[in-house]
Amino acid sequence: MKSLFAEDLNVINVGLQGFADNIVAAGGSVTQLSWAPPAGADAALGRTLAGLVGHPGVEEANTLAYARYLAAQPRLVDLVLARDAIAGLAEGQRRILHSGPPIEWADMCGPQQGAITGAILYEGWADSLESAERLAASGAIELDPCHEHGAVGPMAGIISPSMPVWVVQNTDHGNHTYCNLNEGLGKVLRFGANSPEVLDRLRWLGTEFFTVMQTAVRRLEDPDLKPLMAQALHMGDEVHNRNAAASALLFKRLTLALLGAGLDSGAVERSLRFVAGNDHFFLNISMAACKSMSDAAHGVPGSSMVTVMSRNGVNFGIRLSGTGDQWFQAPANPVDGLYFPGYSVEDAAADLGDSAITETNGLGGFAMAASPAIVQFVGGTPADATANSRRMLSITLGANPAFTLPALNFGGTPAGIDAVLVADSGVLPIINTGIAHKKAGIGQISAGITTAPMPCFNEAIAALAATLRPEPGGGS
Amino acid sequence: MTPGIRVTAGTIGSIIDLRTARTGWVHSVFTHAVNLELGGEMWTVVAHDGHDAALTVRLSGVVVPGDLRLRIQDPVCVRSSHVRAGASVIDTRTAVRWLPQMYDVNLCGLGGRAFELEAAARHVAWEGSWTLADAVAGALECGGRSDLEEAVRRAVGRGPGLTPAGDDVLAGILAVLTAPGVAADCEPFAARLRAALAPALPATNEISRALLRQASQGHVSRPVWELVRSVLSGRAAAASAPARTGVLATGATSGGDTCAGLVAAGRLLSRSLEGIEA
Amino acid sequence: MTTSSRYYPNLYKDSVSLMTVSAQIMSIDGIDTASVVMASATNIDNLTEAGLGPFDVRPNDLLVALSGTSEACEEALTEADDLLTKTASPGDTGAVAAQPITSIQMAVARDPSHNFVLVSVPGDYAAAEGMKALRLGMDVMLFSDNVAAADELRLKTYARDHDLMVMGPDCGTAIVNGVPLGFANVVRRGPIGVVGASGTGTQEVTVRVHQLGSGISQALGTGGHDLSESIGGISMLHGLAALDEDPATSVIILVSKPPAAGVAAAILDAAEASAKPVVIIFLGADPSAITRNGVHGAAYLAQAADMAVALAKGQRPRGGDIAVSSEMRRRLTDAARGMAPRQQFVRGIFSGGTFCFEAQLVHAADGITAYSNTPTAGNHTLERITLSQDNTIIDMGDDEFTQGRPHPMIDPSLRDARIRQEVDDPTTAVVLFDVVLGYGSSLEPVAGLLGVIGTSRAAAKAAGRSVVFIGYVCGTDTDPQPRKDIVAALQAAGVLVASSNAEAAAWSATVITERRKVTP
Repeated sequence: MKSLFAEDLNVINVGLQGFADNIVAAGGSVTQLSWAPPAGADAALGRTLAGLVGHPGVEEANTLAYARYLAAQPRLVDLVLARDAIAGLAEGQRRILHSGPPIEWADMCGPQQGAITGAILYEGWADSLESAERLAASGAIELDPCHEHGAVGPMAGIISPSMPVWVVQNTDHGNHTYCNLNEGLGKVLRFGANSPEVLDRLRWLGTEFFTVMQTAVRRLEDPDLKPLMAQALHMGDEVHNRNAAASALLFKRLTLALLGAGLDSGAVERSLRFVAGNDHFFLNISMAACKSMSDAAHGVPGSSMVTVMSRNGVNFGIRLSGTGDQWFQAPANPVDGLYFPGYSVEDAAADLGDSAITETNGLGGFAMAASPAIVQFVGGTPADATANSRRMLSITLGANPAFTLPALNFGGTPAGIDAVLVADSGVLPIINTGIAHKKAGIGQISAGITTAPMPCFNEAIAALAATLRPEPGGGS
Repeated sequence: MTPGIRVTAGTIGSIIDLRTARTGWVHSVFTHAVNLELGGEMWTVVAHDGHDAALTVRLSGVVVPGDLRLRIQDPVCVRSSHVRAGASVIDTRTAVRWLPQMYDVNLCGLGGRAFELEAAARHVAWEGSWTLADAVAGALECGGRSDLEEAVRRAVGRGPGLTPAGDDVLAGILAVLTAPGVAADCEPFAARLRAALAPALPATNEISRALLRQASQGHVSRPVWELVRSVLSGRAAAASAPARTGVLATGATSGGDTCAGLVAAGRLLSRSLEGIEA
Repeated sequence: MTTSSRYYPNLYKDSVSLMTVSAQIMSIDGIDTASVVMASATNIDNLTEAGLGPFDVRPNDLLVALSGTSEACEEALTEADDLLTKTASPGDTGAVAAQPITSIQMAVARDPSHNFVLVSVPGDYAAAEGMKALRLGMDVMLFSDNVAAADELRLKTYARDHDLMVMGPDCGTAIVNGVPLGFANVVRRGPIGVVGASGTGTQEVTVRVHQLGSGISQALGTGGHDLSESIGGISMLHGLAALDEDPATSVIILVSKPPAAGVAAAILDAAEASAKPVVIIFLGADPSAITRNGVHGAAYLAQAADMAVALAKGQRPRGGDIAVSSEMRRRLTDAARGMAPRQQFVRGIFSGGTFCFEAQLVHAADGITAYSNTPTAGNHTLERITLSQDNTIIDMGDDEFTQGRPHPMIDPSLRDARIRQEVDDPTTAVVLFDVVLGYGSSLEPVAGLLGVIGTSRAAAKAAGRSVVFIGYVCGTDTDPQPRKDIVAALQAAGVLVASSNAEAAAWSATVITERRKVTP
């Protein structure tokens, strides 16, 4: 205490406002907190949380994890069939990957079941919708989260063995990640549609389009993704809900790569038209790139950095760097958004997809300042978008200087979510998202903003605390 | 107080402690460096392209210390990996700590490498530095206590530069005497030099004093560390050129003066430790 | 009779705001009971026992529970809803306000020059907030009480290991670097440092030092449990050591009720080892058992201040019992002799717990025992706290009186009503009370009381009784409620205003002793 006597008192008041008012009236300096009980008002968990604040082991671990995340250099290196890239989908395995944390077939939402049914037909494991559903329900097909196989998928996020997947490599850490192809808008598998038209498109994507794109990727002069994404952020994208600029930049690179490749010009034209017609084409690559960055940060014992945020249309799941493969799940929060004409909240599926991997890496909703259009869906202004990004700085380990946001004076986008800061401050990670109709196959009915649910972070910090050795001198 | 900015530090110095709460003030302000006086320690905030050392805070991104809008005597406090200086805040939570890379010493050919270094530094150093260096090294080798004190007294605060040339010479000598692999054998020299230095320190300015104190404990800046490493570990000339250039580019004569000290100490080493291999 | 309720998920309001809302809806005609609380397990149990409920809520929810006529319940729910939701949250309007600071970590990240944390959240959460403050390198004051002893020990052990101080739990008063914290008075800076385990005890000592023309360097609180066996005086020892090294402090005062035996020994040893003179008031302990080299035992709170001021001037400190001047003794005796035969007893109505304690000790020294809700050794427990018997000296700031109500220092209306009740009792001879000024206390501490004194005294007079009113005003002229104005108002109402709590009790004891001589 004695060193305090030589300083000017600057008080943090936690509780009754009157005490802060009195300090001001007496000429002192004070900050009043807008305090609410943290950790879901669970007093015991609150004490555990307090023990993580200023924990040297956690801070060191976070510095290491965050440094690996910053150093990541994702590169688009290939497009291959899933069975040739992902061990769990290899020949002889009957497995389909889905978005979000683990979930049983019977509990899945409509769009995800519809998409799996479609994939089963696509693989030829059944020949009718009814028999495909029976097969899925029977347990004969392994249904695993994409994340557990180094992959990600948007919306229903279905990856089956015969689907092409982008291969992204983080050349700094060496790890690989995968994501499926974006089929476009409207009636598509990722919203649960599984009509013959959808399957036909999938087949074309898996054959002609696949051949053309694989050649293009392998001939890319500039396969580095971070600079492309950084540039897109300066052009109005946030590479989750807005991908038009990034998709256009990619289109340039792919086109140049195809010149002189000697492929059939009809196939090339159909493929490039397909890419040009889909403003979200880059999303899937963005997701794989993001996963490759946060995967590098994963697996540091003691680190409270969030490395996965993901939803399966029922639950929201997160993972921390320091708690390994453990999922921390809770029902997804509602989405605040604007419904397209004719639809309302009764029609909505819960938050769905692995695309929150972008927010996990400081993009998407965290980079909202770069792409304010989405706030219109919640009645906000561009100033709100900037404020949203800024608010995320209070729950991240830092700001990624590789992704600068002009609206933040070219400061880096907030990155490296710290679960301890989330639980302690009550500030939830913000996510820009689209909403699917809860019935399979109808498609997107809304867009807006949601948040990750707090119970995930409470559970996660409890698990992290359990992994730490007691500090010398107590304090937990 | 002028409104401040928030910045992030990417790298922190080898022994700097940002977790213990402490207060202090801004000691001196330059465009590319700001010195903070904190409880008897002199911390230096540098830009992204500045040099790491024992007590440095190196900012990330394009921000330079001048952007912090600090003035001399502005209050400084450190708490929980955050530094408030004036109205600006530096977030060091995710800063990586620079740790000097250890190396094995190979004294074979040391004389030749000292000669090369001298040739490179001859016209960069202040002309008086060579004499000062030789005097101190000579006193260490064969002189008594009063000879050493006299030689040190003549060097401290002497010559041009914000860090006076003589101080840089002494820092160079100390950098060699405290280098890994030779520190144990050189401890008698280092101890005598420290003792001679103590009463002479008031003759120089506070910044240089702080750097000399750090050097006497074996804490030097990254470029100096790399250069000493290249001289003592016997790296090939081509590999050591960047380290040499890095030091020589420091200040007007500062780097050269440091090299004068390195050279004198290197020669002292090779004479005194004849027969001792790494 | 209907019961009705509504809950607000994840809405948090502090205890003062909750009480304000429940007070307002309680005043609606037709409402029998109304509770506005956070849905903690304890609160839910209490409400269920009271017949309200059942509820489907989580601890983070805010619950409004009512019983009354169905119309009144509806009206009350609507009004509660207005009061609870009326503050606009950021994001309601288009422009987002600056982001609110919701945690200690966030405040430090914004501005690392924060160096102190004052915690007054519910006890369940206070320890965790205190620990965060310590782990971020800051000293902390825990105003909150109901913190588990194990948590207090953990906090104080950590603090000791990191050269920090925990003031509290249950620490109501401190003055650090001249800044009043919690319930504290405006006193000038000076050379006397105080470490106190009692809030009002610290207030008494600091205002007396100011009134004697000296000043306070620091007034540090330790909380009411610091000197128990299980805690061992960690904070008092730390405070003593800090003041020992503080160049601005030349004399130290320690204030407490008597500590557990082993703890007292440790404190006395540390005081003796201090390079500065230490005055110790362990209320109720024999001062001569405390006095030793460089350590001076005081007999009552104000005396501790007197002794410290003398020591600071290099003079000899004087001890001894409280002196009642012969003039005042004459006045009190005359007043006693003019009373009706049945008037025999003192009724001490206190808002400061330590003042109640000291008053009992002073009366006991004159052989006058009493009933109390917080009896000292040798006194008796008052069975029904709302009804006095014989001599009764009560602490209306104690938990039993303050469940769901503001403390009498903040809202003296219950204290005023009790005083009226005592004057109306024909066996009352003396009404003895304290008025505590300073930050945190009501800005109108005696407005209601003056009216009560006037009307109840007149009614007693009409019934042939004359009651003596003796008061003590704990404060300074520089307080938000300037002491001289309060004293003048009380004197104009015929109250005998003493210059210390002990003196007021001594005057009261004089009257009671006199009454005993008169009545067989």
